[in-house]
Amino acid sequence: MKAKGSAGTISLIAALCMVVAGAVIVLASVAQAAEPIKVGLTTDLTGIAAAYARSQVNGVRMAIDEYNANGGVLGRQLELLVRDSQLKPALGTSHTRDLITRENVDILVGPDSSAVGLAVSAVAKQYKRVVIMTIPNTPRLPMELFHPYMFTLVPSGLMETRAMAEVLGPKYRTYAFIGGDYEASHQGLKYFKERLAQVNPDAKFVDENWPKLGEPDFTPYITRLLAAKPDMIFSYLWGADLIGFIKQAKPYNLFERTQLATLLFMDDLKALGGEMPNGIIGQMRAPFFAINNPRMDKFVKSYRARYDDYPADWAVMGYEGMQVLAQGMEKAGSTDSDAVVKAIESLTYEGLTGTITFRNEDHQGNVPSFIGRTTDSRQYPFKVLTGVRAVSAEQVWPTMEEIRTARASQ
Amino acid sequence: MAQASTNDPGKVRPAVLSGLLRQRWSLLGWLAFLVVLTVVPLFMGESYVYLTTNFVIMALYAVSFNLLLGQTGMLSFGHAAYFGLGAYTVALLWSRLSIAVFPAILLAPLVAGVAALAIGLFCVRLTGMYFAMLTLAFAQLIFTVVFEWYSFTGGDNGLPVMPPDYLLAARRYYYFSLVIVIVCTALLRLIVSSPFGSALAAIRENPERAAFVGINVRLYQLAAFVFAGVFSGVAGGLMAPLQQMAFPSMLFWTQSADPVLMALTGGIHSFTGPIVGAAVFVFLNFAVTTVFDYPLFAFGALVLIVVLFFPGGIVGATERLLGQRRRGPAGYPAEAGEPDPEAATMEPDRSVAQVGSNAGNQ
Amino acid sequence: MLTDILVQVMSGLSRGMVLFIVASGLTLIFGVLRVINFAHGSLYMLAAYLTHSIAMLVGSNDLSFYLALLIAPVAVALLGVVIEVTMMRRISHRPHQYQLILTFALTLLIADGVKMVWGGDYYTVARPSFLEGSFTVFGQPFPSYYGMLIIVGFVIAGGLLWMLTRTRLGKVLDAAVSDGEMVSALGINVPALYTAVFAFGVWLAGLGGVLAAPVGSVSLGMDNSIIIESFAVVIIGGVGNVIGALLGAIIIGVMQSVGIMVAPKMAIAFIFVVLCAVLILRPRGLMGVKA
Repeated sequence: MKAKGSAGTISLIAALCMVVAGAVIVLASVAQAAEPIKVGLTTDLTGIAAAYARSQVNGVRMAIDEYNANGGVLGRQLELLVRDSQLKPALGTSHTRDLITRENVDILVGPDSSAVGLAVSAVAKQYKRVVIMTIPNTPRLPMELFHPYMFTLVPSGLMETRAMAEVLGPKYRTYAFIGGDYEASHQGLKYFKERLAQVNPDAKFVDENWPKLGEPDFTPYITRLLAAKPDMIFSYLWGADLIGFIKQAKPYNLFERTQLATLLFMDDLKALGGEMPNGIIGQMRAPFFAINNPRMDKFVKSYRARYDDYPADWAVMGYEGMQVLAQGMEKAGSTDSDAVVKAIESLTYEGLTGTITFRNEDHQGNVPSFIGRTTDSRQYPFKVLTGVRAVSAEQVWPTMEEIRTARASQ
Repeated sequence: MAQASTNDPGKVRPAVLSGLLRQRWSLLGWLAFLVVLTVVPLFMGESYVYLTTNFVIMALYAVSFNLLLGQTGMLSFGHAAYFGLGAYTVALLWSRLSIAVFPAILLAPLVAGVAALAIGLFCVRLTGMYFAMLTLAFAQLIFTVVFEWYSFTGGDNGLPVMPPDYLLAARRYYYFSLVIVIVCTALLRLIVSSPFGSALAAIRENPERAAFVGINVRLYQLAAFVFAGVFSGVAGGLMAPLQQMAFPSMLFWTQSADPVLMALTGGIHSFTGPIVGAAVFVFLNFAVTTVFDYPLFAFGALVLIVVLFFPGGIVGATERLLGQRRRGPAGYPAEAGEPDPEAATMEPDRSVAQVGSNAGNQ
Repeated sequence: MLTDILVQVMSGLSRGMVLFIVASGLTLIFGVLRVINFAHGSLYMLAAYLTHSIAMLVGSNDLSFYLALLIAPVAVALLGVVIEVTMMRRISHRPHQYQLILTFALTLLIADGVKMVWGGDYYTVARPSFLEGSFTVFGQPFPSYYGMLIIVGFVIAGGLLWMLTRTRLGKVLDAAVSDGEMVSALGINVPALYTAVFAFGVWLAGLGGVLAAPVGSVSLGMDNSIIIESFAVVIIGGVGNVIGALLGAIIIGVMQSVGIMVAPKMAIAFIFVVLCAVLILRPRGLMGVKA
C-alpha cells in the first residue's frame, strides 16, 4: 500500500470520531430513565406526499396532547418522537430501528407511503413493537406480510377498490380505467374487476390507461378516454396526478360526456377549490364534513382552533390511530407489546369515523369507505361530497380463504 | 479559464523524507481506522451498528465511483445502475432460486460488471457532459425495466431478501460487510497505485498526451468503468440484505447523485476523500433527519459551502489547514493544483476528436 | 383515426412547447457558460409557486395570471443573477463537475426552501378565463390554453432565433458558444455577458414555470420531472442550439403523446431510448455540428 499523506489520515480520524461520538451518545442515552411512554412516528415529511405526513403528525400530536392534559396513559405522559423517512424505505428502516434501539420507544405509528410502511412493519416485527398503520394501505401488510404486532386502521387497496365496485357495479355497464403505473394501482384494478364481475356480470372494460406517477400531461389519456366512451371512468389517480388529470380533462368536457369515480383526499378538494367539477364520485377515507357525531365535531373544532385548517383524512386517522394505541395500553395495563396486542385485538374503539374493532386474523380495523358525489358547499371554502354512502369493511375485506392463499404463496 | 497553480510550496520540500514520513503516518492512520471500525461497534448500540454498516457500504460505493471521477476524470451520472443491479442480483437469487446471501454476493459484481462492460462500450466513446448523459440514460432505462417488470422484479414493491440466520444479527452482518468492504477497498487501492492507475491518471490529466505515450485511452477508460461497476455491484449486493429488500429507488438517478455528492464533499483528489464523504453523508443525513424538518436544506447548504470554499473537499481543506499543498502520490493532484482544466474539461468536441484520432493511430 | 393522431400530435406539441421554453434557457446557459444548470428545474418550480402566491394575493383572476407572467420570471431571473455572481463566478475556473454539483446543491436548497415557505401542500392555478374552454380542430375539442402554449412556444422560438441571428448580441452569443476566448479578445465584458445569459436562461425557466402552473398542479417534485426531460431535449437537439432544442422538445413531446396511443407501457422509457439512440448514433445531437 502506498503513502497517503497525513491529511487523508486526519480526515479518516475525523470520520472515525463520528463513529465514536455515536457510541458515546448511545451510552449516554442508556443512562436516561424511561419515564414517559415514548411513541415513535417515522413518516415521509420530505417528498411528494409531505402534505399528508404533516397532517398525520398534527393528528397524532393532538391526540397525545389531549391525553397528556388529562394525566397521560397509565399515569405516564406520552412523548412523541418524529422522524423523516423522506419516502425512502431504507431511511424508514434505519429511523424506526433507531427509535426502538436507541430511543427505546414503546410503540409506533406507521408512516405515509406503502413502501416505507412495509419497511417500518418489518422492523416492528423484528423488535416486537406494536405499530399502527394510518396511511399505507397495501393489502400486503395485513395479508402476506402480516405479523401480530401490526394493526391497520386504513381500508386496504383491496377493500377500497371492492367498495367502489359495490357502489358502481349495479349502475354502470362499460368502464375505462386510469391509474398510475405502479403496483398498488395494478392490484387495485384487479380487485375492482373481480368484484365487478360478481356485482354485474354484464359489465366490461373498454379501455385501460397507465400514466406514469408524476405524469405532467394527461392529454393523450384524456383523448383515449373520450374515444372509448365508457359509462364510467374508474380512477386510481391521487394527489397532484389526480388534480392534473381533472384540470386537463375539463376543457374536453370529459365530465359532461362521461363520469369519473376516483380516490379523493381532502388535500385535493382544498387544492382544486372551485375548479373541482360537481358530480364526480369520490371515495374518501375520513371526510370530516360527511361524518356527524359529537366526537368528530369536537375534533374538527379543536383542530381548526389549533392549526387554522380543516383536518385532512390523514389528520383524522392519525388522531384515531394514536387513540387506539393509548386505549390498547390502558386496557393492557402496561406497555408490554404482547399484552397490548391482546388488548387491541379485543378493543372496541369509539372513533371519529365510527365504532371500530380489529379482526384477529389480519388486524384489519373494520373501517368503512366513504363514497359520495362532489357538490358545492355553503359551509366550506371547497367542494364536499353529498349522498355519502359508507361501505362497511365486512362487505369488502378479504375472506379467510383469500388471506390463507396469499400467505401460503409467500 | 484560470491556470492551475504552479508555484507549489510542497515541491520544495525534500521529497524522499516527506514521502517516508507520509507513508508511515498513512499506514498508522489506516491501521487506527481499521481498529476503530473493528472494535468500536462491539460497544455500540444496535442502531449505530446498522448505521455504521450503512457507512462502510456507502464508502465502497463512493470509492468505486471515484475511480471514474477522481482517477480518470469521467463524471458518470448513472452509477446507481451497477449498485442497483448488484442489489437485485442478490435479491433475485434469494427470492427466485433460494440462494443464500453469501454465495449470491459473489455474483453481484459479475452481473454489475457485465452490464458496465456492455454500457461502457457505448459510453467511453463520449466525454464530459455527453458521457454523463449517456450513463444517466442507460441507468434510467435499467430502472424502467426493473420498475415495470412486476412478475420478475416485484416492481415498485421491491424484492425481499433475508440474510441467513448466522448473519441476521446486526453485528454479524456488520463484520461480514466490513470484511468484504476492506478487501474491495484494498483492491481498489491497488488498482489506483498500479501502473494501470497511473495510466488512468494520465488520461485524466491529458488524454491526448496519454494516447501519445501509447495508452489506449478508450480501452483504459472502459476498464475503469467496468471496475467501478464491479465494486458498486458489491456495495449494492451488501445493501439489499441490510435493508432486507431491493428497491427500484436503488437504481434511480437520485441514487446516482449520491456518490457524486459523497466524493466531492470528501474530496475527489484523494483516495480517502470519498470515504470521508460517505461518513458525512450517512451520519449527517441521519442526524439531520432526526432533529430537523428540512434535511435537504441542511445537506444542500453543506455541499454548497464545500463546493464554494473547499474545492478539495474535506480532505483538501484539512490538507490546506496543515499547509501541505502537494501532489498526491498516486497521481491525484493536490487540492490547490486541481486537475488540468484542459484535461477534465466538459468540452466534448475537442476530447472526442482527440480520442478518436489517437485511437486511429494505435 | 387520422384526426385522432393529428389531435394527439397537437397536444404533444403543446407539451413540447413548455419543455422547449425551459430547455432553451438550459441550452443557452450550457452553450455560453458551459454550465450544466441542475437548478433550472427548481427555478421553474419556484416560478410556478410564485404564480400561485400572486393569485392568492390579488385574487385568482385573469389579472393575477398576467401579473405572474410579468413578475415571476423576472423574480427568478434576479435570483439567477445572485446565483451567477455570488456562486458560479467563484468557481468558473474549475472543472465543470463542480458547477454541476453546485447547482445540484441549489436544487436541494430550493426544494426545501419551497417547502418552508409554501408547506408541503399542492396547489392549483386557474387558467385565464378566455383560455378556459376549448376550440374545435379536426372535429375534436382542443383546449384553448394548449393552443396558446403552441403559439407562445413558436413566438419564443422565433424571437430567440431573431435575436441570435439578426442582432449584435446574438452574434456575440454565437461566438461565445463556439469559442469563449475569442469573445474576450473582442473586448466584450465576458463576466457581464455570462451573468446576462444566465439570468436570461433562468428567465425562460421561470416563464415555463408560470405557463405550466395552470396546466396541472403546483407541487413539490415539479423540479425533478422537468429537469431530466430538459437535459434530454438539450442533448438530443445539440448543446447550445436553440433550433435543436425546439426540435428535441417537439420530438419528446409528440413522441410521448403519440407513443401512449401505440405502446402505453413503454411510454416511460421513450425519452431515454431516444436519448441513448441519439448519443450513440449522433453524439453531437441532431443539430450539433461536428468538431
